[in-house]
Order: sequence, then structure tokens, then C-alpha cells
Amino acid sequence: MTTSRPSDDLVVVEGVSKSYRVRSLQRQAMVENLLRWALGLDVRRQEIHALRDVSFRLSRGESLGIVGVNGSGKSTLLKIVAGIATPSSGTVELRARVSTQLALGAGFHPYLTGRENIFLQGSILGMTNREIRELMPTIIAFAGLEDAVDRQLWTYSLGMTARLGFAVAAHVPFELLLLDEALGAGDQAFRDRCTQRLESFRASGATMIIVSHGSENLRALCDRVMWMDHGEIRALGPTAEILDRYEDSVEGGGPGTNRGAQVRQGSKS
Amino acid sequence: MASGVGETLARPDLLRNLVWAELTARYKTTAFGVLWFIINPLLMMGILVVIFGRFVNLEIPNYPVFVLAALLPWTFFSMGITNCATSLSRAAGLVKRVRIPRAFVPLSALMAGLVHFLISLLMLFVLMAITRVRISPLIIFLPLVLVLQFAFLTGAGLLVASLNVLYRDVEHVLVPGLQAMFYFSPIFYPISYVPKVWLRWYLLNPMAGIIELYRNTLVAGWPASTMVAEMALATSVITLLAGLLVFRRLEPHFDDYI
Repeated sequence: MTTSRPSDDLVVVEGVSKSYRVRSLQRQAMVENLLRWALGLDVRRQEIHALRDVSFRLSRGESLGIVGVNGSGKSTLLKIVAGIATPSSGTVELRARVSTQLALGAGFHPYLTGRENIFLQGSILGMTNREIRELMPTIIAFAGLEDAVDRQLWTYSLGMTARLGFAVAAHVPFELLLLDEALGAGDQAFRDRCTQRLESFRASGATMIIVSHGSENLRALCDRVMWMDHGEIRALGPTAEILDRYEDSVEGGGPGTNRGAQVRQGSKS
Repeated sequence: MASGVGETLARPDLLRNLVWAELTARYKTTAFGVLWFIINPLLMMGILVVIFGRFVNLEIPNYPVFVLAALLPWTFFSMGITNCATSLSRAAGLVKRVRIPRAFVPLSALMAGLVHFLISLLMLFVLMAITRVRISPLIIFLPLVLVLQFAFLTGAGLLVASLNVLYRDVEHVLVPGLQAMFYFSPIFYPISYVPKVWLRWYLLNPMAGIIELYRNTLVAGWPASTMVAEMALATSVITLLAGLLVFRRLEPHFDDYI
């Protein structure tokens, strides 16, 4: 995919790593570190490496699945692509208006009315007030909140609030959709509806990144799948092939047992 | 992720909506709304008038107006800074879930405070009319003083907001810090009480100079000094630059700590 014309790449991730310092441990080691620093020794840092040297490209119209066990760095990578988290090193180029599931209802204010919240939320997601004003009737109708839109948000039921959040997000123009299956709740019927909606998105040529524990949905939705393991790309390739290998590994004794020839292995320190 | 001026100009509607949310949410949750911005300084004025107007008789003409002209900008400052300090952690939903210029969070709190301050200034003019105190001819410079204070407030606000994300100690230092600044500002006494040799050190507190300038431009009979103006300008600009710099440095790491 790296051979495609550069203008077609919506996302270019190059050598991205992310590490967090563990501060409680750092405080305990403060005196020791001061001494080490004074003596010219290496300062001991307690760090968690969430991502190590991740690189990939995504071109327009392509959809990428990311699988891996808990703590493999999938969600961190998604946040970095979305521009919410900052990589410790490496670069992310984003040439698309992004819509993320994380943003649903972020910034909703309980004491503002539904209408005021639509303005606030719409501008948080990048729309101008003029654009929002034009879309207002559509958004209200989509959410089915004609009667409640001028009431304060705290009077809404959970379902009404969720509908409002979704209605705003669904009307913001975007080119790249970032989804995290771990966040998606709801019953089977709702999930089926979501899958259907995603398939129609895909048919219309939308670009997507979907993070998952490894669900069958990915087979229908994704062109390529990336397998994350301990913050590194373990494998990246055609959906069926990677998912088969990943599932074998998860079922047979956990990740790390299945190491194919094409699997990229990074050093683990 | 940049917090530069460019992005601020690029998304004016977001900033406007955030300020509006800050303002309306307050009115919808409190019975007296904006009145609190007036009641607080009025109460404080009452206390100071009793203590320094009666108990310790400072013999300053029109003492209530003298005090209130200083208390209003002080309240704007102290409430703004207190708000800024916790603004980012209160807006965790925004910081962790969407990509917006993060400086908008403390900035919108300050702009809402500015609206309240302007309303509370009207009350000062009412008091001046009642007690027949003349307005200073320097009032034409009031907008400049306002800009100066907002510059300082932006710098100080960005500083405490970003530092408090990394070290929550900041919000605890703030209480005694603000108290010290209150006493080391010419609020209930005139700046002429400060010994000449101390004045330069005294004016290192930007609020000291700013408050003096408010009194100069609002109330007749309190002439301005260029030294006060110079020091207020210098300290405010330095604070603004420091705030912008520190916020820019720390902004990429906010979501790791909130």
C-alpha cells in the first residue's frame, strides 16, 4: 500500500512510540535519582511503553481493522491517530476530517438546553455556528427530540442524551471514521444495525479504522488488518490471513505462541 | 494540537459557544446568577469600610468608592485564576475525547469572567453617582487598563491551568498565594503608603500596578504615575509570554495526566 500515490494517503503514521512515566514510582525514587544524577549515573525512570515504533499508511477509501488483546496498544494508537494523544516520538500526518466514537457527547453540558448543546457539540466537532444553524432542524428530527430540544439536558433520559450525541456526530462531515468496538455497548439488534450502517459506509467509499478484540465483523468490513502485540505491530496484511492467525494464537495458548515467517517481531526489553 | 493564535482565529464559534456555556450554566444553576459577582465585592467593601474607615481610621475621602474601584478588578482576577486552575481537570471529557485548542478551556472561563466584571463596573458608577464622586478624566484610558489586565490574566491563567494538570499542588498554593497578593496590592490603602525604597519590589506583583491604574482611571483625585504603568506593563507582558510558553510546552501531555 505504500506504493500508492502520496496524495491518496489520508493517514501516514511513521515510527510512532508512546511511553508513560509512572509518577507514583517516580516520586518514591526521587531521592535515589537525585543521588544518581549527582554522581553522573543513569537516572532510573519507570516507564510504560504503550506503543513502540508503529508505522502504517491508510489510503482514501480503505478500511483497516486493528486487533490485539487488552493492553496491546490498540486504543492508544487510535487516540494518537485522532490527534487526542501525542506520541512520545514519531509523526502522524492526518489529511482528513476525522470523526471518532470517543467524541460522542463529549462536552455535553447538563444545564444547557438540547439546542444549546447541539451548538456547543457541533462547534467542538469543527462546524461553524452557521453550518449548525442550517442543519439544526435535520439534527433535531434525526434525534427525534422535537418536543424536548428546548429543555435542559439533565432532564433527558440516558437514551435521549445518546440520541442527541449521535445525531450531531452523524451530521458532521468527515472523511475518516475511527471506531473502538470496546466502547460500543447495546444489545445484539443494535449492534447488527451498527454493522449494517458501517457496511453501507464502506460501500460509499468511506475510510475507516476499527479497533476490535477480534470480531467476525472485521472480516466483512476491512481490507487489511493490523495485529498489535505489546505495543508493536505483530502483523499487517490481508484481513482473512491475519485474522486466522490471530484467532489461532488467541485460542491456542495466547498470543506469542504463533510466530509465522512473515510476522514482524520487535525486541522486547 | 497547537494552541496558537492561528487556530484561535480559525475557530471563533467554538470559543464563543464555550463562553456562552460558561455564562448560561451559571445563571441556570444559581438563584442570584450575576448578583454573586456584585454581592461578593460589596460584602468585602462593607468589611473594609468598617475596619479601615472606622476602626483604623485611614482618613481617605470617599473610602467606599476608593475601595470598590480596586475590589472589582481584584475579584475579576482572583475568581478568574481560581477558575482557570481547575478548568482543565473539570473539562476532562473535552481534553481526553476530542481535539480542540486546549487553551480554549481556561480562556473561555476568563472571558466569562470579563463579562461579569464589566457588569459589576456599572455598580461602581452607580455608587459614584450616589456618593457624588467625580469620574477621573483619565477614564479614556480605561480600555487600555482592561486590555493590560486581560493580558496578565491570560498569562497567569494559562500558567496555573497547565501546571495544575501536572501538579495538583498548584490549586493548594493558590489560596495563600492570592491572599498574599491581596495584601500586597493597593486595595484598602493607597499606593503612597508603600515606602519609596520598597515600591519597585512591591510593583513586581502585576496586580499591584494594575489595581492602581484602575483607581487612577476610574476615580478623580488619584493621579497616575508613569513608573506604576511601566512596571504593570512589563510584568504583565512577561507573565503573558511565560503563560503562552509553558502552556504550549505542556499541552501535548495533558491527556496523560487528567
